[in-house]
Order: sequence, then structure tokens, then C-alpha cells
Amino acid sequence: MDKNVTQPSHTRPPGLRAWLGWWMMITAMLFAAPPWALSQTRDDVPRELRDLVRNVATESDRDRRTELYDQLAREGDGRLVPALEAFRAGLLALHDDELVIYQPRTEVEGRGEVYPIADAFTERPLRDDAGDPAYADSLNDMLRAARPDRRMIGSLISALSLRHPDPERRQRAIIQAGDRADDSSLEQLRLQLDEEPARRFRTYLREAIARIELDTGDRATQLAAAAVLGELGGVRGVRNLSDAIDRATDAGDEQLLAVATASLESVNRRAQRLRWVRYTLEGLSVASILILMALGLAIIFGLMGVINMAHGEFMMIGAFTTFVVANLFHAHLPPGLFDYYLLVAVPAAFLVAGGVGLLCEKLVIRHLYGRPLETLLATWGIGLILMQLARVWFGDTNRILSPSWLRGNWEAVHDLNLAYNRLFVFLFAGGCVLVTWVVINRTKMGLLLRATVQDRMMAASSGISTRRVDGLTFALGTGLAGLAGCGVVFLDNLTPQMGQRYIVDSFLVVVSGGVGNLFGAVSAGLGLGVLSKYIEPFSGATYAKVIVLLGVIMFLQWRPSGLFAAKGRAALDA
Amino acid sequence: MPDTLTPSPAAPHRTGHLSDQSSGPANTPQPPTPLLAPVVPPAVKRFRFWALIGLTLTMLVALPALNLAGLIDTHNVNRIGRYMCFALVALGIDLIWGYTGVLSLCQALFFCLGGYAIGMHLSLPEGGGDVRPEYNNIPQFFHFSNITELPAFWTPFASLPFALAVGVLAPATVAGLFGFFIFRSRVRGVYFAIITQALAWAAALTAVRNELLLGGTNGLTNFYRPLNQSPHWVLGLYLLTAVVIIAAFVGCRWLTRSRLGRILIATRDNEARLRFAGYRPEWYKLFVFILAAVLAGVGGMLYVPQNGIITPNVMRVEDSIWMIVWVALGGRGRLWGAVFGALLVGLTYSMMTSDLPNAWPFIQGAMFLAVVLLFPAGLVGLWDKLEREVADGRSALRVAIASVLVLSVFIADRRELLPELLRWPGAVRFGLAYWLLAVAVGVTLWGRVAVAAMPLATIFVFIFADAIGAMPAAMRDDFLGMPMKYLVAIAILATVGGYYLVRDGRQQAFDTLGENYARLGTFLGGKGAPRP
Amino acid sequence: MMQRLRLTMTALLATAMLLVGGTATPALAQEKDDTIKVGILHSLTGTMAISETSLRDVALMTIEEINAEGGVLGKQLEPVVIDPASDWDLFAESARELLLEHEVDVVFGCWTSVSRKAVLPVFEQHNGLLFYPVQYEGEEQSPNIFYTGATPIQQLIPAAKYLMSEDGGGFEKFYLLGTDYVFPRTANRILKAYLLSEGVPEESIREEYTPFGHADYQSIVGRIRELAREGDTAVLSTINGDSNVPFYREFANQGLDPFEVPIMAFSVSEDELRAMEAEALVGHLAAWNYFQSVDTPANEAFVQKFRDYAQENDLPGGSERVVNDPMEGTHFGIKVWAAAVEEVGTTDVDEVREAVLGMAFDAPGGPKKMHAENMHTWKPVYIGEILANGQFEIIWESEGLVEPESYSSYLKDE
Repeated sequence: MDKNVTQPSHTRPPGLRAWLGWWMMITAMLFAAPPWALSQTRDDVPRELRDLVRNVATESDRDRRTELYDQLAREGDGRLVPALEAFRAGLLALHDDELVIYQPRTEVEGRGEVYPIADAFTERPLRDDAGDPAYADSLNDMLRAARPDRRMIGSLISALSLRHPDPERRQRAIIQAGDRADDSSLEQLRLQLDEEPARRFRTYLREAIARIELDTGDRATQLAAAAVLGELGGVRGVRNLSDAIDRATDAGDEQLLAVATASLESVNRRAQRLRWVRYTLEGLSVASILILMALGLAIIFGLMGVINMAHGEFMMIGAFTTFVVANLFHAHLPPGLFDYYLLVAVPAAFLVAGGVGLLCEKLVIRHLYGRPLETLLATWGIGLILMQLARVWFGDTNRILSPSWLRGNWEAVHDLNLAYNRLFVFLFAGGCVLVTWVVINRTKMGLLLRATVQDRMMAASSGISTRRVDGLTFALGTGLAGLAGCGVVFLDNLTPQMGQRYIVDSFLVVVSGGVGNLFGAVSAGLGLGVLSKYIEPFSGATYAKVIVLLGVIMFLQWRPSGLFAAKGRAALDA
Repeated sequence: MPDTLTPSPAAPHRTGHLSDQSSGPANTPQPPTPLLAPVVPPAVKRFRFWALIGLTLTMLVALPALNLAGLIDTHNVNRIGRYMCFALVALGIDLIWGYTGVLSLCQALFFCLGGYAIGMHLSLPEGGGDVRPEYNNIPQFFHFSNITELPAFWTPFASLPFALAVGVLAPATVAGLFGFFIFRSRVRGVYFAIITQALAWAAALTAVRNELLLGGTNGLTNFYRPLNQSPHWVLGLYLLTAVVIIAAFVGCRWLTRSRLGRILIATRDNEARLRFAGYRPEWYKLFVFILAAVLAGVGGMLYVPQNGIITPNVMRVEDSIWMIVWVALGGRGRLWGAVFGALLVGLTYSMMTSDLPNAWPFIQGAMFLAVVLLFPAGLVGLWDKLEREVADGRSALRVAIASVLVLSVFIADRRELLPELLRWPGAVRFGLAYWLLAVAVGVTLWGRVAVAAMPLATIFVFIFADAIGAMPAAMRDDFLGMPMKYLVAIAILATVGGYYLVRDGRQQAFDTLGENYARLGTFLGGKGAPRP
Repeated sequence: MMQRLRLTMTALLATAMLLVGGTATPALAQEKDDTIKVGILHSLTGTMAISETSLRDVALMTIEEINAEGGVLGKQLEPVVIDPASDWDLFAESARELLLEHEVDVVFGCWTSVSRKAVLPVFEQHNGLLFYPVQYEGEEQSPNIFYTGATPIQQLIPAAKYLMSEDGGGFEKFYLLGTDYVFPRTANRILKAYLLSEGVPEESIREEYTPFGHADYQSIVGRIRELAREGDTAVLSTINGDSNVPFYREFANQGLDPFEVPIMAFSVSEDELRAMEAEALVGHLAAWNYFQSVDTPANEAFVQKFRDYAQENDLPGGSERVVNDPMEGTHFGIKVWAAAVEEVGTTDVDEVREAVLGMAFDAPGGPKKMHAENMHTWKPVYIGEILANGQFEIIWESEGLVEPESYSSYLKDE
């Protein structure tokens, strides 16, 4: 069968080089305009304020400290925030009687892992006498705030950062002013309501003002505030409203009671609605992992008929590749570049996982085509070996350093937060689906692939090297698993056995979506992800999983060939 | 390498049925099917007869006798007993997978159902469970869930017959219900494997929950201690297991040779044609599925008292796959292959995790690959190639005598029965007993002895010696980073390999050791099997 | 030709066997008498490898250390390592193998309760000796096991007490979150009983469990967030194993502030923190009986020794490796056993047991002592706060050693 296959040169996917070119160009452009070039210098801070902060940080008597905090609240301003935050996080230290902060640990030639020292207020790096940057070896001798102080400092920071240039910080400060019911901020908040540039903060400002007014204002103000809180519908107002209801009940104030109760109901109604939105979003996040995993599997299992039990391990390879790239960036490139390591890690994860996949195909899988159950055993064995290799090389405990833009969350709608890492994985999954679709349906390689899958003999006799296509297809599938690892690593653990917990799920997604159908896999992934999150509030995490599993089993009873069964001649031949 | 060396997989059959098309033929490559009994030379027949007698005697008489004589530790008998329970599960898997071509990945679940049924009985005071008055005389783990009264569903388990009945009926019911619907909707091949995997996973997730009141992650333990400790109980349970497995083996053998067995094989080989011939394969599949589940359940019931603990850990999908490997390695479609596969893989696993704690996952992985790539027919396939040579003339008897000699010296050395003069390390540098042994083995094997028997006997003797705890100390100690016994085994295998090379030349050697090695040739040559 | 080949074969076989004996024998003949075998029974593969591998490492280091100092009773210690592969059935078998085949005099091992429960009958039957180094749920006391980890009273109650105190932040609402198995279940029962007895109303205590290996904490953190909006909420976490990474990550990403809503963890140590970005966790808490940051020269030496050991032996992580409470437990367990053997001059289990009971000794984390009767260990309690470098700063410590309790009084009262 092989002998009659020639090797025409046009079987090489022609688009690949062009794609690579684009990728490199985008990467180069991003690297050429590095954001660290824009690092702002902060205003210097007057001596008195510097000393005041130093005194707070070094004072051991609690009462005296409290006084100093009050003084800081009166006299301080936004410029003190970095120093106070460092104090709160235990990163502040005394260096030549001057407050300094330790910056994240980096590796320096000849010094090992050290902490660069910077001025606590301006964050400018300090230099030693010789003019070289100053470093500290360890985090010992830090000035650390006593634990009860931390919350005090927290409110202090938020009071000081009401006008912080960073909108996110400003937003947090506004919310926290409301939490504290601190009527001294009221003036500032009202002022800001008139001039706040970003419209979206108006909600927070109004909410914070209303909360403070409801707690501290006179009766008329309280009535208005309660109504405002009802109109805004934010859950943060719940505590103030319930307090107001208690007060009104005690005082027999019918009108306030009515307004507050109505507002509370409207808040709760909105919260209930939002909860379902949140479940959906959580479900989409779960779904994006499932889809990432299922994509590669849909190709390997669906199109090639190989039960790839090592799919999870290829994902693990992708995750560890990301880890290695992150570490290389961290160790050898300027810190500013670190946030962009994914631009290298994503293709690297794809190539490494795909490369290992290609190797496995050449050595093992190609001997087993047409015998799916044997591929199950063989790939399980491959998985065991890959897992142990990772264990020997990397060990069981590893930390992936995530880029700073993957940390934290974004309050998309009032009261609805989206964590950036989940958002990233979701978009990433979407991107992968799109690229896979394009590769399969719009490129030469996809054409060859589809031709081979649909009618192997015919494809071979029209000059396609089916063996090569098989190899590339398997590599594509495992490469996609590597991409999955690149995304999942920001949500889950980085251990040699990380892939195992996804494997059964991914198979179910592929099977219930309809084998050989990308669209089916995507829909099944979305369905299962969202469904499990809808069930979870009622049943708890474990039973939600069990119910979904049993649901899939029953679904396959009803439709043994999945959601979108392949039809026609292709289905019979594949 | 000519294509003829690689057995070509079955031609794809188009059933017009949608659930299985994309994966090609779901049934696995054809293991030798005993459909029409091949012509067996009288020598081989004789050999088979005596081998059967010998093995039965070893299992039922020699091992217990040696144990009673104090030459084999009770815990080793216990271990072999436990692995024989696995062999029971393997028999079931062979029926459903090897004969019927349906790969079930939830056999471990059935195993656990049986195990939990008997475990519940054994946890209760009526079953000898170690309960304490301070915990109200109910199993101790209830205390952690804040429960002081025995839950209602536990009460009937106080009776042994009830527990035994549940141990058989529970797997049968689950398999029956599940199988009924699955087979009715004609879910086959890979799909069946994946769905059973989902079932196993769902069960494992549920079983760790404490609300089930089955001990959660910690499972059931604190049984009557002597069950797996006192020599009488251990030996009793061992013999019971041995008898059950012999009965099950005979039963399965009868089944596979009957008309029903042929239908099963037909189901595996061409279900569509069978259906056109007027049969209803789903009922046969359902029957075998239930039978396999019951065998697994019985295996679990015998396993738990011998093991002393049952946890949901055994229910995991991994364990089910592991069970498949027993059969795959032993050889599908041959009952004794499954039995030996289970014993061998089990013993190797327990041996390697203690001997090579860092390397065994590699070996395990390599084992999976080797089974699939080099020995698709498993040990049985290898055996079929060598049997004639082994059975030839009196060589089998000689090899048997040599093996017994080696084992006796091993046991005697281990039990410190040898006089000072013979011991290793002893008065004479290498231990006189081993000098004598070498001479005796040499004399016994001198003459017409099949070389093929050597590696088989070596592997058998080594694993058996390890299983009964008779490996001499020197063999267990590390040398060049691994225990000596592996080096010795490798040396012997290499010697035999070398012999074949010299005798037959390279090409012939591959042929002699089976076409399977020719696969290695194709494998290294870079050409794969042709795809259908 | 054939004849000659057979002859060669037989000769080769015999020679192979004897060569093996010959090479091994001289070494063995000597070793037999002047080594004492000790077993190490920790999973090196499977789900528990993440925690247990470090214990194997520290055990081997300690044995090497003892050997360098001349061994025990003038003999070298010979470690026998077995990998029970996170397979509970294999644990019992491996224990038997250690005691009967390898004839070890003592075993250091196990992490999960189920593995300990699986080997317990074996040790009792063959009168072996096991040192179990991990904190656990209590309600057990076997004469063949020394428990060098904490019992609930030595970890849980002080932590809860601290959080309710003024210094700790005066928290009033508690979210008890755990992995679904016996330790968290029991721990949370004890915690709940304690909190109720301290006057915390029932509705201010939430309890929730996730399965092993659970990775999706979105909804749970969402619920914590809802509870925490009303203020004064702390999380008491008994989440075990690799679920901690996604949990803490979700916690940080949903913007919960460690000082407003701290997590007090009972199963997160320095070793687990190696898998997390500690910068986002600064301010969360953990309660243990030892932290790597315990400031004594002995501890500094211990930490340094382990780092050097990891580097020399090319262990993954190398000189970045850290030590934690169970590792200290393993380390001083071996030392205590060695000291006891020296004291009684034999490895006989019954005599060693008598010598160990009540023994006072210096561990890296400071002086400790074995309980005179109940097989457990008197230990100090520390509460540590996570620092940006993945270490803990000790912010509270008990006055002196806390007495272990095999059977918790909080469980008896109910």
C-alpha cells in the first residue's frame, strides 16, 4: 500500500511559514515598544511625612501608633500609599535610617537570588557607594505591621488613595470608604462625583455616598440614601439596609422601614439574577478548559480513531514548557519583558507537545492504526512514562510565575467580577477553536487531512502521503493539548499528574459532541461546563460531577453517536 | 521488511451503524482463536496434561504443605491468595473482552461492590469486626461522622449469607441494568469503553463521600485480625480462593467451548453478520457482561478478608485499566493467559515497587508498550511459539526437576536450614550448596533440553521464588543499582537470546522467537503496519 | 555444534549464578553484621507523591547524617526505600515486606490516615515500630506507632482561639472548608464544637467539603466572598494536597484581601507554598508545630543541611528546597529512635518503646518531648503568616509545649 505513494512536494502546508512570519512580527512589535520604558517617576515626599511614616513603622507602643495613624490620616496624601502598602505587606525595611522597600526577588550574576532595594516613596532603585544597585539577601529584619494594625493601615491606604491616579485603586478606595462608613470621606466623595472622569465609577461613588449617608445621615438623607441603594441594587448595601431596617423597626419609623425593605428586596432580586449570570460565567470558564482539552482529542480520537489516554500528559508537557519559558524569561531577560512570556510560551508549548506527539506517532501509534483499543493501552503506557519523566526532571512541586496581567480581577458589571486568568483561558480557548477551525477548513494541510480521513485509499492514490498526514495530524492534536496546558497551568496545579484529572472528562466531551466533529466538541464542552455549574449550587461539587457523568451516560443511551453525528459517506469511511 | 511479517488487521466492516465508524474496526487484532482446535502432537498433549497436574498440585498441595512446614511465610501465602482473586477478575475480563470483544473499563467497580458487601459484614461485630464499646459497638468510622446508631441499611449485613448474596447480586444488578441499556442502544467498542470509564469515575467520586456511610476515603477496615494473619485463616482462604478459581476456570472453559462460546467469538469477529444470521448479540453480550461482573464481585469478596481493608481507591479508572493490562499481557482469548497475566503482573508490580522504587513507572509503561507492539497476543502468543520445543521429549521434566532443585536450595537457604558448610555466604566462598546446585542443575539439563524452556523456567522460578519469599538474601541486594536477581534474569535471557542468534542467524532468530520480534524489526526499520 | 552450545549454555548459567554470589558475598558477609536496616515507606508516585517525596528525602538525609557521626550502636544505618505508589493496599504489603523480608528494625513512613490505618494491623501483628510524622485526626493510639505529628488539640484550637482574639483580628464568622476525608471532617467537628462553646452562633459557621484533587474553586470562593461582605470573616482551611494551589489562586484573583479575610490553613506548609505565587498570599496564616523560620542555630543548621543535601543529590528544586513540619517530624523521629536505641543498647521494639516514651530531646524547632504514655509528642504550637518569599513569619506561639491528646475531649463531650 505504501509503495504506490509518491511524495509530491506540494503536501507541505504552505500557510505555515506565513503564519510564523506574522507571529514573529507581532511578537517583535510588542517587544519593541516595551512598557517598562514608560516607568513613571514619582513625586518626592517631604521630609516630615517621610519621618512620620518611619515613626509609625518603628513605634512599638500600640496606643502611640494609633495616634500616629490618625495623624497620618489627617496630614498624609496619596504619595504615601506605596510605602504604607509595603509596610502592610511586610516589604518595608530601614536602610541607612531611610525607609526602603524590597522588590520582587531576582537573580543577579554573582549574587544569587536577591531583592533589589528601592526608596519606599519614590520606588527609585537605591545605589550603594560604588554606584551599583543595592540588593538585600533575605527578607529578614523587615519592619512588619502588627496584625491588627494591618486592617487599620488598609483603611488608611484607601482613604489616602481616593484620588490615586490608578483607576483601579481609586475604585477600591471608593468601595472601602463605603465599607468604613467614614463620613470624613463624604466631602471628598461628593466632590469626586462631580468631576470623576470615568463614568463607571459614578455607580461606586453614589453607592459609597449612599451607604455612608444611610449610616450617619439625618432622617431625610437616610430615606433618600435607602432609595438610592435600592436603585443601584449593589449587594454591598445589604448590610447598611438591614441595619437601617433594624433601626427603623426599633424607632417605629414606618416610612424608612418601607423604603429600606423595598430597596433590600430589589437588591436581593438583582443579586439573585446576578448569581445565575455568575454561574453561567463560571460554567463558561470550566467549559473553556474542557474545550481546550477536547479540541486536540477531537482530532486525534475523532479523526484518527486513536484513543489517546496520554492526552493529559501532552497537556502536562505544554504546561511544563510554559513553566520553563517563564523561568527562562525570569532568569535571563529584563523584568519588563516578563509579562510577555506567553508570546513565546504559547508557540513553544504547541511545538514541544506537538514534537513529542510526532515522535510517539512515529515510534508507536502508527503501528496501531485501526486498532483503537490497543492504542488505549499503548498511550496509557506512554502517559506513565511521560509522567515519570516529568517527575524525575521537575519534581512534584513547581510554581508557575504568572504574568502580572493575569492576576486580579475585573469588575465587569457592578458586583460581578471576572478573574483575569479565567478570562484569559476563555479567550484563549476561543482563539484555539478558531485557529483549529481555520487550519482544518481553510488550509492546505486541513484539506489533506480531511481527504485522508474521508477516504484513505483515494487520498493516497491522488498523491497524498497519508503516512505523513497521519503524523502531522497527531502532532496537531497533541500540540493542541500542549496549548491546553498553557492555559490550564494558570488555573490549576503544575504537577506531573495534572493531566490525569481531565482525561475522562475530555473523552466524554468528544463522545457526547459527536466524534469527528469540532463543532460538536465545542458545544458539548459548553453544555457540560455550564450544566455542572448550574447543578453545583444545589448538590455540591462532587455530586454535580457525578450527576453530569450519569447525565452523559444517559444521553449517550439516547444518542449513541453524540450531539452531532457524522453523516453520509464520510461517516462510514472514516 | 516484507509486509507478510505483520499480521494485517481485520478488514474494516461496514455495518451501516453509526456509533463506531470513525474508529475503524473496534475489535482488536485477532488473538489466536481456539475456534477449531489445531492439531496438537501427542507430546504436547502429554506435556499439557502433566503441566496442568503439576500446577494444580503446586497450588493445592505443595504450597500449603510448605506453609504448614514453616518453609513459606504465611504472608506470602496471603499475597498469592490475594493475587489469585485478581486472576478471577481477569477471567471475567477475558470472557468479555478476549472472547466477546467488549472492553469494559469498570471491572474494578464490580470488584469493589463485592468487596464492600463482604467488608460491611466483616466490619460488624457479627462478622468479627473490631468494634469497641466506647463507639457503641458499631464500626469506628461512624464516630467521625457523628453517628451513634447503626444505619438501617447496614443491619442486614450482619448475616453472612445476605452479604454474600449482595456481593454477587450487586455487581450483577449494576452490570445488568447498565448493560441492558447500553447494549440495547448498540453502543460498542471504544464508546462502550469510554462510557464504562465514566461510570467507574462517577462511582469512585461518590464512594469517597462520607454521607454514604461506607467509610469515605478510608474505606472499611478493622476486620477480624486473624483473617489475614493467622496461618489457619490465611491458608483456609487461600485454598478457598484456589478452589473457586479452579471451578471458575473449568466453568469458563466449558462456556467458551460450548455453542455459546462460539457465538461470543462471532460477536467479537463480526457482530453485524451474526445479527443478519438471526442472532441477537446484545443478549449474549449482556449475559457475559453480567458474568464478568459477578466474577469480579466474587474476586472482591475473596480479596477483602485476605487484604484486611477496602477503600474507594480501588474503584478508580486507573485500576480498571490496570486490570485490562493483566489480560492483555497474559493473552486475550485464552483463559489461562488471563489467569497467569493477573498473577504475573500483580507479583511484578509488588516486586518492582519495592525493588526499584524510582524506575518502576518506566518499566510499567514499557510493559504496556511491549504488550501492544511486540506481543499483541500476550504471553500466550509467546508460549504458543515455544510450546512445541519445550514439550519436546523429556526436556520439560528435566526443566521441572531443575526448577524444583533451585527452589529447594533457595528455600533452604532462606530458612537457614543449610548447615554452616553449605551456606551462602558460608565456609566455602560461594556457598557449597550453590556449587552443588550448579552441578545438579547442569547434570539435569544435560542432554536434550529445549533452550526455549530456559528463559521461561528462569522467569517462572524467579517470580515464584519471590512470591513465596524464598529469594536468597544475596539475590535481593543491590548491585549496579538494581537487585541482583534482575541481573541474573537478564544474564540468562541474554544468554538464551545469544544462543538463538548463533544457532539460527539473525533472521531466523526473530522467526523462532516469534513474528513478534519481527515487529521489532519493522519497528526499528521505520515502517508501520499498513492501515486498513 | 549443538552439543557444544548446550554445554556453553549450562556453564554460562552456572557461572552467572556463582559470579553473582561471588561479587555480592564478600560485601554482604560484612554488611550483615554491622548495619541496622530502617524502612522508609512513603509514596514516590501517584497522588501523594507531591507531599511524601520530601519526607523520603529528609529521612535519607537524616540517616546519612547519623551514619556520618558513626551510626547507631557502632553500626551504620541502612535505609530500605519502598514505593507504595499511593496505593493503600500496597502499603500493608510493603509494610510486611519491610518487616519480614528486609527485617528492618523500624519504619518511618505514611502520610494519609488511610495508609496508616492499612499498615497498623501489620505493625501490631509483627510487633514492628512505625514513626508517623504527620498531623492527623487523632482517635487512635497504637503501641506500635509513635506519632510525631500533632493531634487536633495541638493545632486546631490555638488557631481558632488566635483568630478570635484581639491580636488575631477578632473574627466572628468562620468558613470551614476542607477536603472530604476523615481528617478535615474531624478537624471541622472539633473546630465547630470549640467555636460554639465560645459563643459563636451556629449561623456564623459554614462548612463545606470538596473531593481530593478538586480544582474549580470559583463557586466556593464566590460564597466566601458573599459571607465576607458583611465583614469579620475568616476561613479555616483543611484543604489537602494539590487542591490548595487553585484555591489560593482563585482567592487572590477574586480580590479577597488576606488581612480582611485571612485563610488559616492546617495543611499548607512551606513545601506546599513552593507551588504557589507567595506574593499574592502574603498575610494568610497557617498553624503548625514547626516552621522553617524558627530562629535557632540548630534550625538554621538543619535547613542548610537539607538544602545542601538536595543540591548534592540533584533532587528537583535543588538548593531552593524548604523544610516543613512533617519533615521536622520525620527528622526528629529518626533521631529519637536512634537515641533510644543507643540508650537501651538494642533495637528490640519493646525496649526501644520504653526508652522513647517520655524522652525529652532537642529537635531543630526547639526542645520537645515524647509523651510518657500515649505515644504522641509534646509540641509547641505556632501560627505563621505567609511572607513574600514563601516562608512563614511566626506571629504567635504557645507558652511552652502543648500536651497531645489521643482522643479529643471535644469529640467526647458530644
